[in-house]
Amino acid sequence: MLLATLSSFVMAFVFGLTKGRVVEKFSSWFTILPLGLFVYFLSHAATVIAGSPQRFDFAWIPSFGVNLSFYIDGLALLFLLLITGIGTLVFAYTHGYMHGDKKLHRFYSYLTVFMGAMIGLVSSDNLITLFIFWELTSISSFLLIGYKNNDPASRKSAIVALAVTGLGGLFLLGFAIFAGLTFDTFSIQEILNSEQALNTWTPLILMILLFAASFTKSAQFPFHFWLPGAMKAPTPVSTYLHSATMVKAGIYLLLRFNPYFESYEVWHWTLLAFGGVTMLYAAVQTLFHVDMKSILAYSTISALGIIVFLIGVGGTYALTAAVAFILAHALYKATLFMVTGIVDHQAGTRDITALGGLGKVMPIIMGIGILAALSNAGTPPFFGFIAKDLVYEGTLNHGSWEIALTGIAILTNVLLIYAGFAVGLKPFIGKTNATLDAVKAPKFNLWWPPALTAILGLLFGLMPFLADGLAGVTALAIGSEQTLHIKLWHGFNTVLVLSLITLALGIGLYFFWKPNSKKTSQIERFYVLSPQGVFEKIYGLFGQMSLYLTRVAQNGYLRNYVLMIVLALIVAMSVHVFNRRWDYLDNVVFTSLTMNEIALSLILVISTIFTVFSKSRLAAIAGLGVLGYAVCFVFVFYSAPDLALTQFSIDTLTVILFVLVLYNLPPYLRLSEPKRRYRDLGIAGIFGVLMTLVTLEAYVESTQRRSNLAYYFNENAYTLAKGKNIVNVILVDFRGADTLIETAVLAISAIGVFGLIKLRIKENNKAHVS
Amino acid sequence: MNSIILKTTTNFLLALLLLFAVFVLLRGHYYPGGGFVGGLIASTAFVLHSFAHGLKNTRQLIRIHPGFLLPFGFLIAMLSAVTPMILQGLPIMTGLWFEDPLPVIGMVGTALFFDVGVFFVVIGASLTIIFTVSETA
Repeated sequence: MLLATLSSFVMAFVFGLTKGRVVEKFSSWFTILPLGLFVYFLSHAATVIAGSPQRFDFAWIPSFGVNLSFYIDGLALLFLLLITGIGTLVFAYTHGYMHGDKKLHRFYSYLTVFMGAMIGLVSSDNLITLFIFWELTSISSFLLIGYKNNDPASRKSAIVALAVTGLGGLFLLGFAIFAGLTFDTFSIQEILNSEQALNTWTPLILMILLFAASFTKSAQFPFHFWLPGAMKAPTPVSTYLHSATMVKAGIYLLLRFNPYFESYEVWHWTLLAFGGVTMLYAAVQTLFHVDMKSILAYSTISALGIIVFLIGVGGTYALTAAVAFILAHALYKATLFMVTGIVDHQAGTRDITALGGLGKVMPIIMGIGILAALSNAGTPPFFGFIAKDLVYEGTLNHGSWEIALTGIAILTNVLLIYAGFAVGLKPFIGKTNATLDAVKAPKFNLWWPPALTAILGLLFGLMPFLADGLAGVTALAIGSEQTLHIKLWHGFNTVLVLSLITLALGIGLYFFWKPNSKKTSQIERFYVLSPQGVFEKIYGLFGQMSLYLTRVAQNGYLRNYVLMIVLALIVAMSVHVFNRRWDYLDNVVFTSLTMNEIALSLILVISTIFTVFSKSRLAAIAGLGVLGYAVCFVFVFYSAPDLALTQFSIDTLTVILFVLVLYNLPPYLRLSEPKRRYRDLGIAGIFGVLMTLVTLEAYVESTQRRSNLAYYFNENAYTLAKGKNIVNVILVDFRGADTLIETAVLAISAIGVFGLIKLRIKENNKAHVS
Repeated sequence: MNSIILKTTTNFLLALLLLFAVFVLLRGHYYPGGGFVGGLIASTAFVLHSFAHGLKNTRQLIRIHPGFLLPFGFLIAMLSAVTPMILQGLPIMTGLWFEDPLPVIGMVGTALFFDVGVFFVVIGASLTIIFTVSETA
C-alpha cells in the first residue's frame, strides 16, 4: 500500500526527467502506472465489499502521532477506483490530446503527483497526512492550471485556484490540530468511533473548520469561482481534476466525517443551505455560457452542490444516492469533458454557437456525446437514471420540507439536462458552419477513453449489481444505517413520474433556450457583485498592502533594516523585562573591580566613542576592530575560550571585509541630519539599558538556582555525547539540528552575496560594451 | 601589497595556519575549538595569502571555486546526520562513535564528521563572500 502511494511520486520524478523524443515515444507506456494501481485496488475490492476494511500502518513520526496509516473501506475504495480508473483513461487520452507538446514530460509529472496525492488523500487514516496530501493536490492542481504559463489568464486562474483551495487547506490544518487536541489522536477512525463527550462549542468549531475546508475545495458557493477559471488548464486536466477527482476531495471529507456529525442539526442545515444554493445558482449559470468548458464547469459545480445537498438530507436513501451520483457523475462528466476536448482539438473552438453539424465528420464522437448526455439527463436505462431516482427517493424520504427539497432538486436537474445536451449533442447537429469544413475525425487513441466511460455509464445502468456491492459498503461507511440495493426498475411510483417530468422539462428547455454570447455579456454586468469580484478586490488590496509594507519596512537602506531589527528586539525584550518583578536586581552582587577590568572597560568605551565620531571610514573600521578584540578579551577573562577564539577569527575577517567594501563606497559624508542622529542615540540607549537588565537577570538566575539546561548539558555532555567541551557538544550534538540549518543559512547567504555582486559586475560590463 | 617579507612569511604561515585550523577542528570535542572556528582560521589563512600574492594566485592555489565547498560540506554534515538512521534505525542525528580512539585524530564519531562538514561550509561561505567582494574592489 505504501508502495502504491509512493510509486506515483517516484514515477512523477522519473517522468519529469524524460525529455523531448523520449516522452514522445514512451508516453503511452505511462498509462501502465494508473492501470497497475487500478488493478491493485480492484484486488482489494472483494475483501472490502465483504465488509472487512483493509488497514496498513507505517510509522513515520510516531512521537507526534503522525503515521502513514492507510485505511481502505468502501468510501476510500470507491474514490480510489475512480481516481486510478479515470486516471488510466486520462493518461491514455493525454497521449492523444497533448501530442507534440514541448513540456509534455512536465505535464505527466504534475499529473502523476496529483494522482499520488489524491490516492493518499482518500486512503489516509491520519489527519496530518491527510492534510499533507490535500495540500499536494492543491499545489499540483496549481501547476496544471497554470500549465500554459505563457498565457496571463492561465496564470491568474492558477493563482486564484491556489489562493482559494490553499485557504481551505489552512482550515483543514486547523481542523486536524483542533480535532487532534480534542480527541487526543490523529487517527480518523479513532475519532469517528470516539465516545468522548464534547462541550457545546467544540463540535461547532470543528464543523465550521471542516465546512470551510471542503466548501473551498469542492467549489461550493460562494467559493465556486475558482473552478470555471481552472478551465484554462488543458482538457485532460479539466477532465481529471475538475470533474472526477480533486473537487470531490471536499465531498470525500464531508462524507468521511458524516457519521460523526450527522447527529447535529446544524450539520444538516448548513449542508442543505450551501448545497442547495450552489446547485441552483450554478445550474442557472450554465444557461448563460456559450463555451463548452464553461458550461461543463458550472454543471460540475452544480453537481457538487447536489452531492453536498444529499449529505445534508441524510438518511439511507440520500446517502446511497450521493454515492451513486458520485459514480454516475464521474463517468458522464469525464466523458463530456473528453468529448469537449476532442471537439476543441479538431475544430479549434469550443463556442457552441459557432459549432454545428460535426456529427457528419465524427459520428462516433457524436454517439459518445449523446450517450453521456442521456446518462446525464437520467434517461433509463443509464446509470444516471438510477442516481437521479435515488436523489428523489432521498429528498422525498427526508421527513420535513420534502416538497421544497424535491422541487429544488427537480429544477436543478432540468437545468443540468439542458447543459448536458448543449455540450453532448448541440455541436454535432444542425447546419455545418463554413469555417468548420476542414475538420477531420479524431484518431482512435483520442476517442476510446470517452467511449469507454460512456459505455460504462450504460453498463452500470443495465447491470446495477456491478456497482451494488461497492455502493452498499460505501453508504454504510458514511453513516447509512442499512444497505440499499440499487436497481434499475422500481415500478411505477412517484419517483418515476418525477424523473419523467424532469426529463421532459429538460428536453423542452433545450429546444426552447437558444444560448448566445449576448446573454453571457448580460450576466457579466453583475460581475462586481459576484463573489469573484469581491475576491479580486480583496486580492488587489493584499497586493497594495504588501507593496506599502515593503516600502516602509524594507526600503533598501541598510540603516533602516538595522533600525527595524533593533526596534523589534526592544519590543520583545521590554515585554519580558516589564512583565516580571524587579526584585532580582537586589540579588546582584558587585565584586570589587580589578585592574584589567578597568583597563578593558576603558578600551571598550574609548574605541566605541572613537568609532562613532571619527571623520574617516578607515579609522572607524580600525576602531571597530579594537572594540571587537576588546570584547574578545572580556571572553578570555571570564573563562569562555571558545567564544574568545570565535570572536577573534570573526573580527579579523569582518575588518578585512569592511576594508574591501570600503573601496566601493563614496567619499565619507555626513548623510544623516542631527535630528536623526539623536533619535538613533536614543534607540541605542534604550537597547543598551534593556540588554543590561536582561544580562543581569540571566546572571542572577544562574547564581541563584541552576537553570535546568545548564545542569543537563553539564551532566550529560560526556556520558551521552562523549565530549568534554560542552559548547562544542551543544553545537554538534544536543542542538545539532540547529547547527545543520544554520550551516545551510550560511551557504545560502554566501550564494546570495555571490549572485548579487556577480550580477552587478555583468551589468556593468554590458554597459561598458554598449 | 608588494612586500617580499610578507610574501615569504605567508608561504609558511599558510601551511601553519591550515595545520592549526585542522588542529582546532579536531580537538573541538574536548577543548576549545570546533568546526566553525577551524573554518574561520583556515579562511583567514587563504585571505592572508591573497593579500600577499594577489587573488589570482590564491585562486590558482585552491584550484576549485570556494563555492563548491558549500555543497560538499553540507553533504558531509547531512550524511553524518542521517547515518544513524540508515545504519541502525536510530533517530536522526544520534551520535555514533567507534569504540577505540584513532592515533592523532582521537575519538571518531558522527559528531566529528558533522564538524568537518561545518568546517568546509564555513570556509566555502567566507571565502566566497570575501573573494567576490574583493574582486569588485
